[in-house]
Amino acid sequence: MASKVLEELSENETDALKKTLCFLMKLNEMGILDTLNHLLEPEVIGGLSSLILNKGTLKLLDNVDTLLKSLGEVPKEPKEVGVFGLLGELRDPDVKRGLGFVIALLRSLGKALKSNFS
Amino acid sequence: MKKVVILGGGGGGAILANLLPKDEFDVTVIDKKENHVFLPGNLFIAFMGHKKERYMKPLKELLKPHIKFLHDEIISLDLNERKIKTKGKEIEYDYVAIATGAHLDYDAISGNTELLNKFGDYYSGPENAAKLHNTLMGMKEGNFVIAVADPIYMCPPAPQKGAFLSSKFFAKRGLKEKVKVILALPFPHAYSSKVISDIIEPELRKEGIEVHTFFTVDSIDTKNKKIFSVEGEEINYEVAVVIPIHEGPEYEVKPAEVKDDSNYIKIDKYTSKVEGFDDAYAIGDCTNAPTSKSGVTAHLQAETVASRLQGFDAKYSGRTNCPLLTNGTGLFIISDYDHPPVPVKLSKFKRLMEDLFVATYWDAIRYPELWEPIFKAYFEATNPEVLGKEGW
Ligand SMILES: Cc1cc2nc3c(=O)[nH]c(=O)nc-3n(C[C@H](O)[C@H](O)[C@H](O)COP(=O)(O)OP(=O)(O)OC[C@H]3O[C@@H](n4cnc5c(N)ncnc54)[C@H](O)[C@@H]3O)c2cc1C
Repeated sequence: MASKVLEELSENETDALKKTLCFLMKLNEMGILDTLNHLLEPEVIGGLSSLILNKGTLKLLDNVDTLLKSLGEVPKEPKEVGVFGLLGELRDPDVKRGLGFVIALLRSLGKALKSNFS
Repeated sequence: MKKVVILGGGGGGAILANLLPKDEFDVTVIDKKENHVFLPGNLFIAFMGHKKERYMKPLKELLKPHIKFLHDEIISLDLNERKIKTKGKEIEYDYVAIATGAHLDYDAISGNTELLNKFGDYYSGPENAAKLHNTLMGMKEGNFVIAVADPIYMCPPAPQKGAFLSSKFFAKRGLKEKVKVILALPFPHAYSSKVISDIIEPELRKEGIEVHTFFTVDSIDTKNKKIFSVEGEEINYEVAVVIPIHEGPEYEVKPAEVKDDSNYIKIDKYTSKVEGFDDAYAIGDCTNAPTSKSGVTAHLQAETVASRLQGFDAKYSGRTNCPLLTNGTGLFIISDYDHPPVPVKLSKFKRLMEDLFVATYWDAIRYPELWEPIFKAYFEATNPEVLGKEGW
């Protein structure tokens, strides 16, 4: 039966099959197949999903293109800014918006840390 | 063994069947069609030229092997006698779940059947979506109109999706200047919810899509190529799609009082129980539940009914998650019984999520128990209560 199946396979298919088998053997020898088998339980999938899919990650992913775009536009060597320079920079509406974002982030981080440690 | 008969193997019926444990339930699904159709795919067939086969699969293959499939048309259902009549059989049950979807009544608007036969459309099925694609491939100039006959129809953002995708299609064919896409809606804004309308209006303008508000289709003059509205306006078309009047099941259901004026099955909106019965449920587009007619609704109601049949006190919150796609971005209309749509901004990530939902559709039907915890995590993270006024 198996040899009949093999006969019907094209050269390309036999090649792909051999590679797949090789890969499966490796996974088996390393115990990855057993481990995966045991991990594939609704509880584990559910736990993992709620860890990955939450309000924070969904918001982050939603903004990932904006964040990466702005990162790409930061000059290679940003100029140094001292206290007086900072006061000057704060007149720039873009800087103000960015600062507002960082402060809002600090606030919610602070809140989260407080409830974590108390 | 409890004998459950499920009427209709669309999104709702197939998921419910696959969720019921085989050692406890003897499940039969009745459907008049051999192929299960993924209706959102109509948009991709019509406006992106996808092959229709991609969005159809034999229902038999989607149901787990222990489930019986009866390929037959339902003629009547008697809830008092617990009897279902099909063209060829009479079947009894312990529990019944009605999941036959919405009936599209093209004849209710004069000229609409003619319009459908001439151009195709993207509501009735993949064949007509492929026909619409051919029609649009042959279009050289003039107005392409998408109009709505009644405020209650499947997937509330589908007219806007059609407008955005067709606009992109005409741009690709180099006809941006020659073909105008017109969206005619029975609402005061570009979407029934003002919150969502405010988000998409700038995009519609950018695409050059013309929006006619307060336009409820009254009739179509196919000779002179004009659509008339109840409000007294008219629009000329070269090609048009008029989303037809939707209704509940056509077949007879006894007692007649369980159907409302539009034939929708009256249910308890949380438990999906048919009014007055403990052994009958209805899910998906065939019910009068005051939420969107959407695949997500059908899916979540199927989960609710599967849990209830197993003795749990599950309830459906009315949650919706209908995607609205523009040129490269997307958003979800997120609402439930207690919250109108929350503001959700358009983003590339949400478009990717929608593409993922579409790609995993067949697996979500066939293996709902694998996808249940994943969807649950997503729905909890994006619960309208959690997102609040700020939205996502
Ligand atoms: C263009 C378009 C885009 C959409 N996009 C989305 C989207 O992005 N997201 C979303 O959530 N929803 C979307 N929807 C809506 C979604 O497809 C439906 O809400 C969903 O299919 C409803 O599922 P259902 O099981 O209630 O009914 P259906 O899927 O309609 O299934 C009903 C089944 O019952 C069978 N049937 C009917 N009458 C009989 C009879 N007398 N005898 C035997 N069998 C019968 C039919 O053959 C059918 O298989 C879209 C719909 C359209 C048209």
